[in-house]
Amino acid sequence: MTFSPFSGDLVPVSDPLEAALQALGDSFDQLVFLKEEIHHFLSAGLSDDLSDLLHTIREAQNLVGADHSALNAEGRWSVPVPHWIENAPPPERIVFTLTGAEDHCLAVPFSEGWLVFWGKVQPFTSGDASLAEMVATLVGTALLSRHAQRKLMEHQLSLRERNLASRIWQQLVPTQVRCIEPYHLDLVFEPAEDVGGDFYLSVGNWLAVGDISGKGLPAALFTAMFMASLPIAFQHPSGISAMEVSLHELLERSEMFATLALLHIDAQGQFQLLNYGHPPILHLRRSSTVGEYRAVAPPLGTFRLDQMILQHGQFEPGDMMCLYTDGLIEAQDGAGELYQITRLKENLSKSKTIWDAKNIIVESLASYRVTDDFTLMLLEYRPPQTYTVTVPMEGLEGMEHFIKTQCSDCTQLEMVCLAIHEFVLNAARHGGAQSIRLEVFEHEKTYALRVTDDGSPFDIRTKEPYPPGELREGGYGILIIKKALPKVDYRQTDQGHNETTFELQKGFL
Amino acid sequence: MHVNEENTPYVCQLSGRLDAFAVAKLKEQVGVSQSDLILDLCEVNFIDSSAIAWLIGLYKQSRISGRSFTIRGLQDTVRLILEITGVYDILPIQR
Repeated sequence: MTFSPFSGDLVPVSDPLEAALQALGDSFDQLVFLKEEIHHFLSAGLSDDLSDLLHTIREAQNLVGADHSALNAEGRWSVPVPHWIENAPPPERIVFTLTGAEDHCLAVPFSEGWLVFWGKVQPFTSGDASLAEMVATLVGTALLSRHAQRKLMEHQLSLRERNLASRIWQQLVPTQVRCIEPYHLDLVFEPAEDVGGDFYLSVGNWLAVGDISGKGLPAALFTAMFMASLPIAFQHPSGISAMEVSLHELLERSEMFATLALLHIDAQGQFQLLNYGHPPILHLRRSSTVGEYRAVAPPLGTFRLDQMILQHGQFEPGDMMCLYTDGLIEAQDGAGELYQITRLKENLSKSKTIWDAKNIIVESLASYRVTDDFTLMLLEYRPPQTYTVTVPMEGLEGMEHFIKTQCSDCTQLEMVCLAIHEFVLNAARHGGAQSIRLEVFEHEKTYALRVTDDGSPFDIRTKEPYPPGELREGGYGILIIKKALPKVDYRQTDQGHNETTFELQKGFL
Repeated sequence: MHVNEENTPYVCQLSGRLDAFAVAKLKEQVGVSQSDLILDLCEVNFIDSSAIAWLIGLYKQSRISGRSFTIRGLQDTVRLILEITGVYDILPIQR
């Protein structure tokens, strides 16, 4: 007896020729069936559920003359199956029976599962097996394709989330930071591939570096909260405490936490620190010793202390402070050795300025692999060097020596000295200044030379020099100043003094 | 400052800084109304706008009085300042 695909009836087989013809017909039917199914999968694609695959399997079930069929994909059955099928281990190859089978069955494995047909009056034939094998290959390929599609979709979603997190972060966290005088501030930030939770900011006398646990959108959203709330918190005496309460609760509820280092500085070099679970803040003194200000409060989002614990200190001129996140000290070299605080301290000790420190640390990281965000914030207390000229004056050699000493990297020093000489003479002779103070602020690539005088208001920017080449007995001072010091700023102080600041380029030829 | 008074024209050798403070003193000692003048600046290493104005003034006086006035011996820094201020090609500088 065999199965007619056209009628679905069982037909008795009377002789070998008829059987051969029937088998040939079956093969043709199977071929047509497979052709249609393959075409269907290729042209229509797959729906997200298994309905298409189960429909194909049922069609195959009809073709092989079985009463039942089932699909086991990723360990789960598509329909309830008898206990002897449920208990059977997945076959490693096509089999015509299973251990404890109570019925004829045909089981075919594929890459991520197996198919089983059962409930046939007669044993399954090799033709049935061929068809089942082809269907299993088709189903396995379809499942793999669907799996790959799902993975691709997940990857695209993840990429979109990462891009979104990155955009949020870039909108919120500044690329440059500034701080009050007389401090220098520099920053290195290297984001991880998945945007992490590092953030930093400087507002007035406050500096902050933080690190939120986790990555992606949740970290970006908490970054937004910190970036919004910290500037407000800095404005009020109890603001930081209020922020701590608010963000602690939100972080705790989200099962996240954040480390945070807050630093308050003033113009006289006094500082206050708050360290919530952040890596030790390093204080490099001019004596080359490095002090540590360790965390005295747990990370926000873990548990709260009853009161804030402030640490106090005093900078001496030339002192540096280093705030950073764990991405830096957890960088690993090829042998798996961590960068660690000791290496950071060593490199800080070799540095004379924050720019030295930045370069030395960045160079030392070249042989390390940084896997997380890392932030390095370097602060230097550098009160300006001052020199005061009082009128009447008998010469300006002392002032020029001061400029040459303090602006030694400015290679056009002779012209700078001459221009300042002219400016000071002008303030005394034409502005009636009695006291003229010079201050030099050193920056990474420039010096700021500020001249403050108590003479009558004089804004050099508004003065036009006489054209050169005329036979005049005066007016050359302004021309020299304009030629030698083209970058200049001016303001009147609250006391009504002239404050003129010239920018000098280092290495300027 | 050294003024050679034995010869005519007068050769006035200056050294060091030729600035507003030095010029204030030189104005009383150096002039071109009585004789021709050669101003030797080979040992002058600094010059400011007051000194330039003084040099221009000497040159004007010489033209009025009909005396000759020559500047010589410029150090590079001094020449540069005269060039920047545009008087290098105006003043009677011995090249």
